[in-house]
Amino acid sequence: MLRSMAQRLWRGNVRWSSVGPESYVTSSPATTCEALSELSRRGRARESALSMNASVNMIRCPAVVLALFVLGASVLRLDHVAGQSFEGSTGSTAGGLLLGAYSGSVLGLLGTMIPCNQTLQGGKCAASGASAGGAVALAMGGLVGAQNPTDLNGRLTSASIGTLVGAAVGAGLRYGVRKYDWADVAAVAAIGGAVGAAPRGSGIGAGIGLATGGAYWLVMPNGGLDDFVMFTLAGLAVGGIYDWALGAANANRLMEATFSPAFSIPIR
Amino acid sequence: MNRVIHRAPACESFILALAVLAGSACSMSPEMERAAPATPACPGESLGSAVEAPDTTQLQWYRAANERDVSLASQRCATVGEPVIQLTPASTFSSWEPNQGLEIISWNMNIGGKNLYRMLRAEFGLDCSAASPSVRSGRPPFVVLLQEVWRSSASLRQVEGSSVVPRVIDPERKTEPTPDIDIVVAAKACGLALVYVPSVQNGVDDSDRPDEDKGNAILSTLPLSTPIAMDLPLEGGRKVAVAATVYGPGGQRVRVMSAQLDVVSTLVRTLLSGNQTRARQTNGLIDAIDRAEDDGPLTAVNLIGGDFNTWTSTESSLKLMRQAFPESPEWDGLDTRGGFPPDHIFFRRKSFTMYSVDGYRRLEDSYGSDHTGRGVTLRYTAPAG
Repeated sequence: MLRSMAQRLWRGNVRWSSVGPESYVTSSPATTCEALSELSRRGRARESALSMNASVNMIRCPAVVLALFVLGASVLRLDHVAGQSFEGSTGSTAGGLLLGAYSGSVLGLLGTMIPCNQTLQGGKCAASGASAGGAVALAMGGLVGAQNPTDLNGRLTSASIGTLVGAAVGAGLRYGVRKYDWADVAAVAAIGGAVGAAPRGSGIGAGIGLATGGAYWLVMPNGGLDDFVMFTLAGLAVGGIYDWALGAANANRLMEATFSPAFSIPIR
Repeated sequence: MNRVIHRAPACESFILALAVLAGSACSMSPEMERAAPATPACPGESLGSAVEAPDTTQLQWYRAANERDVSLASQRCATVGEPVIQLTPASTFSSWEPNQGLEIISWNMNIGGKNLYRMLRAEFGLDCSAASPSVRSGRPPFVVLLQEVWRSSASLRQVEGSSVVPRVIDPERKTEPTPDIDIVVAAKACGLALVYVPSVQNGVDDSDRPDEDKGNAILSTLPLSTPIAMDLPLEGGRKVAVAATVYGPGGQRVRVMSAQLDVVSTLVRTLLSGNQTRARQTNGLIDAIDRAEDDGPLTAVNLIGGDFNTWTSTESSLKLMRQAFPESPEWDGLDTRGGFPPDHIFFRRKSFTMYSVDGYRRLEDSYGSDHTGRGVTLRYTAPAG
């Protein structure tokens, strides 16, 4: 920015005429000031616009979530884990935090990236979705790990299966799409792992989203493929994060967690 | 057990507070990589000085400043031939008169070439088969903004099995009874001015080597100047927008541009950018246009047509373009490729209110392409007095 502005200031006494082929005029001091003011204003406006519209460097988010994980793990270890009945170890608590943060952030990103791509702040919006999903599932994952290591082990197993399935799908895509490389295989594997960590909720959510998206596509005149994909991914994300929340809610119960409404319907 | 119940809410609250903090921190957005003149990376590339007025007859390059983008773009442009700049039409056409419109069409040709002649004849009345091509009497001058055009060249580097070269589009056409005509031959046959900048080779070399590169181009009956290539931030494939300047009836510069954005990026880029593939390229495009404007010569009237490869009419990239080009015609609700609306025209004039656009439309015919083009009329109204 400063270099750019300096360059503009350096050539400030020459201003291109707006009329005529390949001609420029040397401006008067007043015009120079006007030109510099315009250039400065334009530069600031552009910087501002770029900052606002910037794509998001998602690398910052894992760093923040990792720091949060370390802090959260230490808090749980000191205040919570040692005093509970269905206690997990520090390792299971840490694992729950990590798995929850990873699964929730990927699910949050998947669920928000298409609707966010309809906004002027698409990058920020998707990053916020990933952060929110990661934060919620981190908290829930920590509780699951701290209170119900069995559930966490199940999630780890299904996440591993999801990763393998994702890797296989990714490898198939790489074979078929020339521009995909091993990083893309890893990306699909990462999605598989995140979905696998919350398998029931993701599956049910994706199913509901798929049906809703399909119906929207068929029924609504302005519905399309993008709506179908959006609803499916949103269902997947909401279902997956709900899975984590349900896991945390049922973490200190003896009975197995079930996917049923948290209220009873009186039937006579 | 009781101790757990009492202590857990405090713990959860703490974690949730941290989660909120994390959410806020993660939404902080770093600056977009900016398109800027950098080191030469492509065949025939010359760099303008940052402090001197640019040569308006030489192709000026703007490219993403990000090293990753430059590195990947360099790999791709090493496979293409030099751009073709032919600023003066070979034939004589009418000039742009006051109170007359400049007809502009933006069209993704999908590589195919023989239908270009049919399109030029049907839309502009230009007969390219004549010895001296001419536009039917009374027809205004025109500019065609083309995407996915091809050029045959024996000088292309041999590339075998490279991941930087996409699959060949329409490989069978060379064996068809009436072979397609490449953009350079077509411009010559029609006597039009041409700016063509290839972005990537059209398919890798194999037993049926295409000897082709492809990219965006501008054809015009008006003389062109100030050709610009904007090497956009690289996502899935290399995209180079081209720009050139025509002179309006009052002598004002009018910049016309042809652009194409990625349809999809790689999976890992889609995840890391939050599906902001086209928004990032759009930011780069807008920034490059602004920089070109800052570098001079001052060209306040800008019109850009292209295949933005958007899935919906409300995508981030289109919103960004409308924000940067506030006088753009409203989308008419018509799709231009299957059920998708990828093709658009954007316009801005700043204080040059004597320029306006009207007649924004979708062409009646796709002329053999998988896209239906868009058309608009750029009008100049002489100031009173």
